[in-house]
Amino acid sequence: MSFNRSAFNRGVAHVSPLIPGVIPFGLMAGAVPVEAGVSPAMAVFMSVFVFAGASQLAIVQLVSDNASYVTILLAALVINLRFAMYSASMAPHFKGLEKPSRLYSPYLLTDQGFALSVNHFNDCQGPYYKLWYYLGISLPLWVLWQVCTLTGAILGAGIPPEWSLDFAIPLVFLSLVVPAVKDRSMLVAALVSAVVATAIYPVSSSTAILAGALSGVVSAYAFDRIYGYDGVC
Amino acid sequence: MMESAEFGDVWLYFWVFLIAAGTYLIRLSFIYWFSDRTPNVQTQRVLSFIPAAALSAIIFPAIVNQGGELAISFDNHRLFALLVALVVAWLTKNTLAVLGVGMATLWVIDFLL
Repeated sequence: MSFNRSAFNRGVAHVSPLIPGVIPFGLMAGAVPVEAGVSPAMAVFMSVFVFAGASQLAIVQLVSDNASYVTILLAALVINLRFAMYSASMAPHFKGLEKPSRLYSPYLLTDQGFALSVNHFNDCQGPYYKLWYYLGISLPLWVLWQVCTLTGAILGAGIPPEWSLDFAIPLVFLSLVVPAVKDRSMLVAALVSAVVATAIYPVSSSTAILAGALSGVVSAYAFDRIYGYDGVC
Repeated sequence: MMESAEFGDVWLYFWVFLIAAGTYLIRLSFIYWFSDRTPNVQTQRVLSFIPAAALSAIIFPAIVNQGGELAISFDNHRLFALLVALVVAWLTKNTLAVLGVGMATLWVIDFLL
């Protein structure tokens, strides 16, 4: 548990270049909900408790669409299922830590924290070095995220509707999807999902997301089986 | 359970709290509980499809369908701006560029037409 200053500082140094990319996303996570009709308190509540930008914006869009609460719950959790993958990658590195550290540290798990950590970790580092490096990345991101959400929530009330700020939600998602499509199967997942969800949407906007996502994943898996997947990402 | 969500509804806090709890449990999963059981390659592969599939299902339907029907034409300003942003995303892989160009395209078309 003892503080490893050099590991923490190294984490801070490695996360600093990512900060300019996080700020606008954080401002959006505050401003877009408020602009859509959420109270600033709810926008901050989401950032503190959920602490996962893509699902926060998805919640706002689905509430705007008057989806059912169950659909919103499932859709948000499906979007956040990627954290299971990150958790699995981090687990071997955190195995030597005592329980309290393994209990609180996952709350701070983000796309950035996972990606930088897994890139940096090697067998010569002990679990506490790894924990403090990860915290050096994650704690600044957490503080930044809360400050940006609060700022965005306060500013959001003053943004006129003609600015179509809600359009930022699909744009942010687009910038997340495109780099995620790393091979043909991923492309199949994205395309099938988009087509199926769009086709079902006029009938039931609630079903559209889940049916789209599920058919996308199943098609991509089938594509893998038919055309082969060599195990290289 | 199946009633539709509204922004002013106090129940929204309850459901967001459930989402927060579920998200925390997902993050906790392997680090806390199954640190000895890393998922096999197949499972990891299926998990890796989820972000692209889930986000696509949220991006496109609300933009392609306008007013309850398919709207694939230049009259659909948002669809046009989204396609421009898609090209920018593919070329730059830069969130700021996608946001900037996408929003600016929509503002310009809305202003001109």
